[in-house]
Amino acid sequence: MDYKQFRKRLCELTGRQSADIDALVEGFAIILRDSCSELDSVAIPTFGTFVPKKHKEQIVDDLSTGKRMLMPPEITVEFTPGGMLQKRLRNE
Amino acid sequence: MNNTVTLSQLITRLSKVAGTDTNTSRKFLRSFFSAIEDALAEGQSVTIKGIGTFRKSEEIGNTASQVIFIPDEQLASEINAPFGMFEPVVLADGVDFKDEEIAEPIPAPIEEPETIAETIDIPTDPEPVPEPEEEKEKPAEISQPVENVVSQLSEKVTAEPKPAKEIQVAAPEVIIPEPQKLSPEREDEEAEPEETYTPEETSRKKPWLLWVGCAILIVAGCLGGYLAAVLDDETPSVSINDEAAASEEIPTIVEEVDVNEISSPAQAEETTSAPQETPKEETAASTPQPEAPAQPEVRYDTVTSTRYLATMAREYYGKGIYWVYIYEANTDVLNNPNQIKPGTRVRIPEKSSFAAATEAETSRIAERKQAELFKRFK
Repeated sequence: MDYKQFRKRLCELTGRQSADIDALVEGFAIILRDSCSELDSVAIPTFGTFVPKKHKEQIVDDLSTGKRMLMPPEITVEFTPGGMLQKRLRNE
Repeated sequence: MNNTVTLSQLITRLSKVAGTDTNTSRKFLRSFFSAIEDALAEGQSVTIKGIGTFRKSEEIGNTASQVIFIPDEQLASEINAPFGMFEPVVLADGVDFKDEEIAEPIPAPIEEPETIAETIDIPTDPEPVPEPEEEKEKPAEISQPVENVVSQLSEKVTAEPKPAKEIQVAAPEVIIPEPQKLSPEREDEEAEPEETYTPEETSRKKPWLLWVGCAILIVAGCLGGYLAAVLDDETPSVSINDEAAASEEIPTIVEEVDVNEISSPAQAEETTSAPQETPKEETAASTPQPEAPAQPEVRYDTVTSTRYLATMAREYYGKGIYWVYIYEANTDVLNNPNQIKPGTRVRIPEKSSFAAATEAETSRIAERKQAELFKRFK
């Protein structure tokens, strides 16, 4: 499902226009970005939690070149599905 | 940091960002996530612009995560903005960052016999030769490197960092006092450690010795200067005027002076005596006696090309250095003592007017005054 289809479904569910849906989705993305940048998690009941994680610098072996590389630290966002979602998806 | 944004907080923030009311935000979020759930339940992946892609996992198991989330590139880069400027760096071949090798050098208990390795770090002699029984029981790989280390110590080789296996202990202290199994080399080395501290002790003493030497030098210099000053007081100094007068004939004015002296006692209190001047001038060519009686009388004399203040002082006071007193008594007519014009009439003050308690002190004062005048009219 691409974004257009997803937006269409949201319009049907909320009864709002596409522009409003875009604004709300963009707003949620901004909140998610700001929170994760500050290493704050975003918890959605029954759905899951967006957890930012900071990875320290590490040395990895580049198998293609055979050389060792020092990877810089980075912040990534991971999603942990909620129990209800897990259960629903496992059953189906 | 490390906080959790709840749904209510999310709704509030979304309302502010999107410019909607909380009810709209709440309904939107509810529909948003339910739509994602429905799509995932249908086995579809959902791609949301600016957020990412939600996909159902193919892993099987109760503990496996059923949802895979791949953040959007823009979102990931914005979240990683603080570290976005860093890039992976290719390490050189010689660089070694293995955790294992880093962990090994961690200082092990001092009790281990590998304190010998510590001696390698310490350039002094290896006192420690600890091999407790427990360590003996340890595998042979420890004893072997120990022996190797001992051999190196005997050669006084500053060992380079050896592999962790041979040198595990980095603590410089040695606690084990029982060197039961000591190699003959170690036994010899044990006698040496006492000497290791002597250099330190001597180095600590050196500053004190330097201070003492400096003090002795200063005292000697002060004594030498004092002796030199005392000796200088005893020897008569020769002023410039004296040197110039010595090179020239001393006019024989003594007789005339004597005559003037005889005639002048009655006029000693008078400051002016013009007729007395002429006979003095006429006697400039005569040969005066070097020793004239120093009679404390105020009289006048005239400076000629061969008769200077020092000449007068020698005649009247017996010492040429006393010319400074004549100069001081005639500062109104005299300026530079080295440039007195012939024919200048000067007053000869009484010796009692400038004499100090002792002749030596008077001479010392005269020398000081002379030095000051020379310095002033350099």
